[in-house]
Amino acid sequence: MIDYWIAGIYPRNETLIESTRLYDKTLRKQFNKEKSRLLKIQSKNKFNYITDPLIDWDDNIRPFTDNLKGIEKGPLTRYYENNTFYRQPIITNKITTSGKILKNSICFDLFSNKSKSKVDILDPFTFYDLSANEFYKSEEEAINAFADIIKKELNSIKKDIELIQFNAPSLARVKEKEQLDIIRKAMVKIVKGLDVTTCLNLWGSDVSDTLDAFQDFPVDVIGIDFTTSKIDRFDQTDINKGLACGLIDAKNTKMEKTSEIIIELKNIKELFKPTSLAVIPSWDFEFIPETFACKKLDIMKQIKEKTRVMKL
Amino acid sequence: MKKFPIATQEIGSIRKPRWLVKLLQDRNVSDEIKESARSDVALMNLKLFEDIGLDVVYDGEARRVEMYEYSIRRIEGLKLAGKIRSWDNKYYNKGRCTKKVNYKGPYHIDEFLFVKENAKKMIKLPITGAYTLADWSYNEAYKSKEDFTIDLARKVIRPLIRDLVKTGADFIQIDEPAATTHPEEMKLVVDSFNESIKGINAKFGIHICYSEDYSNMYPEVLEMKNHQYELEFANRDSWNKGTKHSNRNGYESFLKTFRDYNEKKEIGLGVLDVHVDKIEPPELVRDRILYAVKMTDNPNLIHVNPDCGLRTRTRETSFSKLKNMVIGAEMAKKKLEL
Repeated sequence: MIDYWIAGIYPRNETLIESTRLYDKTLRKQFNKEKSRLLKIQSKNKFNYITDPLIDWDDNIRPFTDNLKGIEKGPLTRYYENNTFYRQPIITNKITTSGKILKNSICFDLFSNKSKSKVDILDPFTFYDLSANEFYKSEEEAINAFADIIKKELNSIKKDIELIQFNAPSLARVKEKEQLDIIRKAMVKIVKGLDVTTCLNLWGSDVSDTLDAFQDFPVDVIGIDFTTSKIDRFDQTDINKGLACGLIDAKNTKMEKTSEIIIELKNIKELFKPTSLAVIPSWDFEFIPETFACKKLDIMKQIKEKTRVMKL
Repeated sequence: MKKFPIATQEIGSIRKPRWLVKLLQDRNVSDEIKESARSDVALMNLKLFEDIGLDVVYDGEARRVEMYEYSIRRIEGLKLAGKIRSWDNKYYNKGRCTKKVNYKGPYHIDEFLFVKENAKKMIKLPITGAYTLADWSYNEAYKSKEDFTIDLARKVIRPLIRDLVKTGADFIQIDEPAATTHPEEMKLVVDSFNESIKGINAKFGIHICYSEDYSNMYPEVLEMKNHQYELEFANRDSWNKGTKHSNRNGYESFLKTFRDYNEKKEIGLGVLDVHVDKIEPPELVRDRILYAVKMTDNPNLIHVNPDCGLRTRTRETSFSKLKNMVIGAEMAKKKLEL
């Protein structure tokens, strides 16, 4: 059986775009209404994990930039290779958290008890990499500081969730063994005692030559962006974990053909022999307009139905 | 073309007055009236720029909805897909390429002719470059981004520039804000730029902004046939006055690289942060310029502009910033005895 879920920030619809631009007084109400609708679509599509579409987040790190102590809001900075910008967190002092940032930024009250829920958070290296460090003496010290923050945040919500997805676009670019080892140790610290299924999502980069290094990371599932990491480039394919396949291109309006995705899934299953298989978008859907994201959700639904019938 | 050191210039867009936006949105107003209103604002911008004392001017892109969307709407093979976040609650309309691109005819001629007729200062005409058009659009029609970009350069941007130059444009700024987004694609940026201007005689600038590190453009950018770089720096610089490296951390890396490669092209030095309302004091502008002159050892290479178009700021803030930029440039020239 193949699992299905979405990740990251979902695009705002045209009405919300206009309302946020005008700082509409009913914005919170509108956000909640749209979140409820999107949660229902995920349930209706029978996605295995339901996730907050985060349409009220201004960027993937903003609730932390706004609420962590020891951080100041820095300049607008390009978000990887996208024509999208985020406010860079500047670390000016020891970072601390109340542990309730994530709890207060996710719509747990709108989740249905019938569905398994999932939460997205950045991995500690991506947190570090997206920030400007003016306080910690070393990269390792800063990564560990973020690991402490993440652990405290996850501890306060772990009873409400079944899957934690660590989105790791910066980590996906790391090639050096020593650096990977530092990050792996920080991840060990985070997941210890969590007792929730975890996924490390290496989106946005070709990891065909580094996948082996991630096998030792303390997570249950590895996410690979297969729009960037082409299957035929992998040196090592056997994987001792579950595999979340970023096969739905979240950065192009071109619609996937379900038949082609199913062939790719079969190839991936045969080559990697993962302990479990999932289909996910290659990145946040917020890089395509809402109308196209909506069509892609429908394509995921069709693939789910076909693979179920095929018993893939 | 006349050369002068530390010339002040705008980069492109300035916010449209509220009354114009309202009028343009009003379905009961005729196209003729709307066009006439756009002309009024274009003229007003032009005169304000000249009155402030800018040396190189345009119309604040008064007739364009936005630098990217305006072009997408006028190129065969491209159409709009919908809105995508630029940052926070700011969005832009993103295009998709659904078939091979082609030139449908010139799209900046009328606005250029209007500026030419009314401007007393030197004119710099901004247009959106092939690489950015390709990078910001969804590619559903070409096998590769390279094919898409080069086709845009050859079949759309080059004929457009040729038509603009025929009409009298002699200084064209090719806007490529996406140029450094993928450092590994710098050769494609250079190739598409050179293809765009191939066989055309004019002065060409390239505007790039919000790069992680402009030094990544080297050495490939040495092959680019541009005469000027218009770059954003102030966004990443400190607000401390002074010309020491420690005060000018936003400029240091690129200017060192520029010097190391013995570059002789002009730099349009971004001295105004377009993302904050705080107005740069003239002394800060002066010191940013003096630092650049110190690093390049040639004031003739340094021109001065905001980091990017000022459309995200109010008109009042924009003009206050530009005014201080002109005063700061004058102070720098005085200090350098130019």
